[in-house]
Amino acid sequence: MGTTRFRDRTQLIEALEVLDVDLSDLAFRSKDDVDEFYDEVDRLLEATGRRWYFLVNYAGCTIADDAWDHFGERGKHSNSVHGLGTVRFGLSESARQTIRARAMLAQFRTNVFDAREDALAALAGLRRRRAVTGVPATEVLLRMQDVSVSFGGIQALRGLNLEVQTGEIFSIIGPNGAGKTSAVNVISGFYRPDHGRIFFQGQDRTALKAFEVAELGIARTFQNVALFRGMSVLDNIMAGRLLKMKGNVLLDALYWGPSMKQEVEHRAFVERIIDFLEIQAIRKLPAGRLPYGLQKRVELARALAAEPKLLLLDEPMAGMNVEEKEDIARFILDINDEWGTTIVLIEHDMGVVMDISNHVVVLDHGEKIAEGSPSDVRTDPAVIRAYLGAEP
Amino acid sequence: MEILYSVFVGPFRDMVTAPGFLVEVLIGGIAGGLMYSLVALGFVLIFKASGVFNFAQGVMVLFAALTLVGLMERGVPVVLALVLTMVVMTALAFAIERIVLRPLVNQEYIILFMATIGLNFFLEGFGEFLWGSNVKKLDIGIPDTSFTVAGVQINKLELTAAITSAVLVAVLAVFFQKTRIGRALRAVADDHEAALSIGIPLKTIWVVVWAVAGLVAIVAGIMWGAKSGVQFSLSLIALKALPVLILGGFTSVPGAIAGGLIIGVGEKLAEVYWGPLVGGAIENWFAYVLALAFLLVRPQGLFGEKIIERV
Repeated sequence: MGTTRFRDRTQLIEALEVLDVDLSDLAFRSKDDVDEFYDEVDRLLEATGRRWYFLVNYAGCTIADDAWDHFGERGKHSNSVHGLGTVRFGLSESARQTIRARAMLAQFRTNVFDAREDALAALAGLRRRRAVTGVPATEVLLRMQDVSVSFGGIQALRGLNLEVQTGEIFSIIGPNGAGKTSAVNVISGFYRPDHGRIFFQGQDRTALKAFEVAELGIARTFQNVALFRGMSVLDNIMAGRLLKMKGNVLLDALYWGPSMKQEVEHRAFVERIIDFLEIQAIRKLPAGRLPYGLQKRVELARALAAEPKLLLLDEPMAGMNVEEKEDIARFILDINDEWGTTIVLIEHDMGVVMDISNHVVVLDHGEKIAEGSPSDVRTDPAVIRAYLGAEP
Repeated sequence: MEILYSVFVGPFRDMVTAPGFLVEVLIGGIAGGLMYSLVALGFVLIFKASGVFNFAQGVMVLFAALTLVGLMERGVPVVLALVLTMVVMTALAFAIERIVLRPLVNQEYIILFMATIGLNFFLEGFGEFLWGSNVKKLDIGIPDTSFTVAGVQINKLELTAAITSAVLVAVLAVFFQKTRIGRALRAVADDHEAALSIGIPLKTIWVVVWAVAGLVAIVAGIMWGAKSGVQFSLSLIALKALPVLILGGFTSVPGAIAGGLIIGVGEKLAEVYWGPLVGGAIENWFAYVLALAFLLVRPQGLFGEKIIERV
């Protein structure tokens, strides 16, 4: 077979920064086929001297079992050298399963969609986030490597591997007691893992304590709201800004010069957050007296005040009605969009999560049972089993 | 009838007929009250930031005064002695955080309270071991004499104490309400977990707050020491701070001031106008009666945070 087989299968769409790859009805029977294809692709990309998103149509494409490994390796290489991220569509059920399984092992994003339009929409999302954060969507912000946590005899997390990429909305879902909150507590430094390591922006930070983690730019909210109940809403949010403020005890005590000036500057920023989350009306009230839904919102505001790189939201919609949930979902999307904040979202309820996430990880009994794009995870038999119980 | 008259009418008639004397009594009361506030402030600071009622606050006042006097007796100049005392109190704060608080993190507040009782006895013994147990005179260069303004006698020492307290309180109030560290202190008092999550290191905050409480103890120690000599009984003024705290609320800096003033003025008035009815010495217990009565009406104190429990 000659090069012709793969000719005209790729097309560069300059305006979208996309390499459109059409694998439909192709058969990769051996490693040689794979090499032939990727050599062609790499040559083409090499010549452009820049990076591209890969949009791949798998409809009717078959890959031989012994060629899969090689296919994956070459793909990963191409992406690391020339790529900004890959979105896929048109996969057969078996190809979907294979990619899903490989993604879980090799820690890459499946980004599998049903139709070309869905894939393009996701691509637009990736580009937008890159425009805000300035980094390609493939940049890893947080990595958990083989993390285990146990309390006495209870194993809360068993060898958990996660990779959160810059700019995405990353959701961790799972039934009660699956270890979701433990995962957040480990990331934010409230729990020390018994085993495994955690990297943030490539740096090992496994041993850091909670307040040091906050200094790195990781903010969080709590499942059971943890506000400063005696303080006003405004003071709560200002407190969230502490790390951004520089201190001088002496000047602070006198409330003099720079201390006063910085207080005013930070206050202005906090007012922006208040506007953003639509809590102007309650800013002077003591946080402890607010209804539950608003308390959650104030807690979110406090976390945002730190201008975090990574925002951990532990069940931000728990105990809310549908309308309130939609409000929060909108805020999460806006935060991600406008500020480019990477978000790790913990939720019990699958509904809203599926609508707003880029990537979903499913935990059960402290283990990762599935991972992938929302549409991917939704159909995963292991997930359905975990949520609905085993089929007879 | 005669009793009712002497309780409800007589004292007020005396107040009106001799207004100059009344003003003198009031000023004495305010000055004394601010002195109580000074001691109460130390309690409030630590309670606000850590929820711990520091039983040892009274002894910290004694310890600070003892250290200052002890250094001065050994020929150290006043200013240097003061600086050294500050250093000692700050070092004490570090030691307390490391040896007492850190091993007891996440324990019940009552356990921490018990620990401060231990601290109380330790500091008392340690202070006397270092500086001896005899009564010492603290001379800060302000004579315990009076001058007269518009026919009203004012004690110079009391006036100095009052002004010092007022300034200290104003600074602390702004510090707590308006500044970064003040906000961090309040945050820690409210919720440890949330405080950690926004990057507040609890240990540092505890050191800061104990150090500030130590500095306030120095001021209180100087004022009380100059007034009544530096001796063991100085630590007992902590007991006088209790009714002030009950009145003002354990979590409020302005409350500590208002509480101090109410107690100070209240007990002076009671002593002067109602004291003779029962043979005097009302001053010693009147504060507690006032606090008790207050507890019945406002358990959270004058400015304390209202306790509302949702059911």
